[in-house]
Amino acid sequence: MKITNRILEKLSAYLDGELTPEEKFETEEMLKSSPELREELNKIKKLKETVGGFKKLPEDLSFETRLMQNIKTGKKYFSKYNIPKPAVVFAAATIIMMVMLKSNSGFFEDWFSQGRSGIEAFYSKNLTSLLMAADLTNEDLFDFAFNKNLPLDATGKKVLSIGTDANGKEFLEVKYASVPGDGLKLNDFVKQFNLNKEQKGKVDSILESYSDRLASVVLVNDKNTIAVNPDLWKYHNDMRQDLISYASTVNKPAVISALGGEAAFADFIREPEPEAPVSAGSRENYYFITPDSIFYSWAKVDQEKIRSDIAKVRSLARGNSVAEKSIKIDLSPVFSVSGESENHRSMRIMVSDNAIKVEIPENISPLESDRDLVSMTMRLDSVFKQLQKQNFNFNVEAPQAPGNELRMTVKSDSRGRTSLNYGYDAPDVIVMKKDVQKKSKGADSISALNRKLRKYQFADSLILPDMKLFADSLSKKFETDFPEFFGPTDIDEFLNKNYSDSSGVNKNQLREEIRREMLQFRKEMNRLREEMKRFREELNPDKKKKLNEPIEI
Amino acid sequence: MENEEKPVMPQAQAIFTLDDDYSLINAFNDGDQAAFTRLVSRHKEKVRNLIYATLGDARNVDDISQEVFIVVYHKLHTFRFQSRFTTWLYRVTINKCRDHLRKVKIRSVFTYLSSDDAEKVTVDSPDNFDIKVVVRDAVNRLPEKLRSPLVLKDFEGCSYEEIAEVLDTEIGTVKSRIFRAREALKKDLEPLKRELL
Repeated sequence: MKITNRILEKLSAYLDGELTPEEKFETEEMLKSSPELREELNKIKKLKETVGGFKKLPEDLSFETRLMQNIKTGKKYFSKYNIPKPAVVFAAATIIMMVMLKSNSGFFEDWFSQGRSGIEAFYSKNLTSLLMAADLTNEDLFDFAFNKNLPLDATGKKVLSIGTDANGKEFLEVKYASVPGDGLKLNDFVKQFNLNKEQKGKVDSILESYSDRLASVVLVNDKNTIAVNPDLWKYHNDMRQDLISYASTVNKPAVISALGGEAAFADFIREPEPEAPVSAGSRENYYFITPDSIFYSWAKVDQEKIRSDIAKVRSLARGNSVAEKSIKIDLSPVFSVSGESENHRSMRIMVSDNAIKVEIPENISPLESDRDLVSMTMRLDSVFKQLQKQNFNFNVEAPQAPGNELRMTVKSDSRGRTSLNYGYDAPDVIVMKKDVQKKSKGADSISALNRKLRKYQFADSLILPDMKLFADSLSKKFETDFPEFFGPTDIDEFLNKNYSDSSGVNKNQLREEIRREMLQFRKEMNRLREEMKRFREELNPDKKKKLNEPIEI
Repeated sequence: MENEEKPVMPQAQAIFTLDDDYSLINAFNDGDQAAFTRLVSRHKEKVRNLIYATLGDARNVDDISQEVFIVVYHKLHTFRFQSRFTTWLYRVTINKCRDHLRKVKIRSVFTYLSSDDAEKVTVDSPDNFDIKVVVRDAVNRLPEKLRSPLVLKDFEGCSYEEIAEVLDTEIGTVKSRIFRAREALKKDLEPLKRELL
């Protein structure tokens, strides 16, 4: 017989004399036939006896006297064990602190400065170059120059990013790359300016020359520290300028066109200086981003050692993965409180799900003293945007009025003119056509759209991500960028514009047909979106899941 | 084979006790303070030992048992004579124990002592231990909702029905909790089964 919990429960109640006569009989029958059950009963019985035989307390003879005393003195629902001890401890601690502060007001200052120097010493030990740890490639360096991201790991999913917020304040960010591979790529750059193999080699050597300098600008250690030298901003700008200057020696017209004219070009151009002596680390101050604090302090960095480390890495064949130091950085629990202290050297730290952002205070901002550099940076940013690929065409199969096919085309030529064509390709077509002079605003919009679209690139076609219905979402989508383009935004307007009352067309019937088509179209777009989503997930299977893990370097 | 000897409360005595408690309560409610003292004398040891068994710790027994009877003193006029006085008394007692356990739990977050204490309980030399102490420790490790019904049954000798009333729950629940408590003890005491079971 299989002894189930149900049987055991019955056995327990049997022993307590709590079964009905029928159940009791049934249980006794089972006991007769099962030695295992008898053993179980025996176990429970012994337990019951032991618990029943627990030692009793010696009698308390004065209990009643004390009780009546307590009742008389009004002691009611509390006794001494009720006092919450932590509260007592905190109260005591507060009093002690108050006394201490009164008698020694410098106490906290000393305490903090002692703690601070201890922390600084602890986290600034054994710093080595990020380039050593993450094995940065020229593509990574290029990405930094133009997209401001330095990968913190081999896959480039986590990045150290520099940027400027809406108030023009610089910040550092440790974050997950939003779209891996988004932004201007080294290859795009080479293509844009038609660089040949040799010239490409030159670009590589410029990048490599910076890799040496960057080597001591971003440091990491086994204490989960990232130390960033303010020179990072300078190199970011220098790299871009050098690359653009070099490109101009090869293909000046293209660069001038990309920069938006001779005058602008003259501002940017400077002598490339890849041979300049390596002076990185001359400023020894670093922003330290550590697991329990962020501070700005100096660090002693052995330049020679870093250089020789890098040489060693280089001497190993590319492709062989360099034994990486795996450093876990988990900053999330530490910086959950943000705020500015009165100490101007502290930095504002903002933490969100996938990013930690450190705002650098103005008085130590690397760009603070150099207004030219600020404006230069901004202009270079806009150049970077313009350099992105802008030639694309796409056709959208949209709801059709009978005989009419909706077409949409966006073009931009090498002279920086962008155009968008949109309309029904039919005898009585409405073609909405608008040339966009490439001003920075227009370029921004187009490139923003372009970037969005490129995320959805599938084979050779481009599909608009969330086009549902011509009449609503699509028009809204474009309203922001090209408000003038839109004529009809609903079916009736479309019909009235294209079919006069005398045309003999049954508008009701036509309207229904268009509606049906639209519905069908919406379904198909949804299906396509699902497919695209699945496809993207296949491409990046682990893109989503590990957002909250410690950052590994 | 179910007949184990239990000195506590044979049926005849129980009825007598019931009547007697009732008359003492009535006398107290009519202003007889001595009746209350007699009521306390009759039940104080049961209450103290129930607290001891429930908490597994003699330190707070005195405070809590005093408090139980202070509550009884102030609330006895609300007693409805629909159950045994002991059932009502045990209910007050168990509630006080629960209050205490709740406070201890909150406090242990701050003191970090409880987990260390629990570690110490493990028996290292089999030659040198008292089985009752080991079982008592094992009972103390049970969650309160399993421990109280078990103690009320095996230690106080209450019926399932009374336990259900004390704990304000169903008889079926009492039956199942007592069973689960015993299963947990068997499992916990498995290494000592030769000595114990």
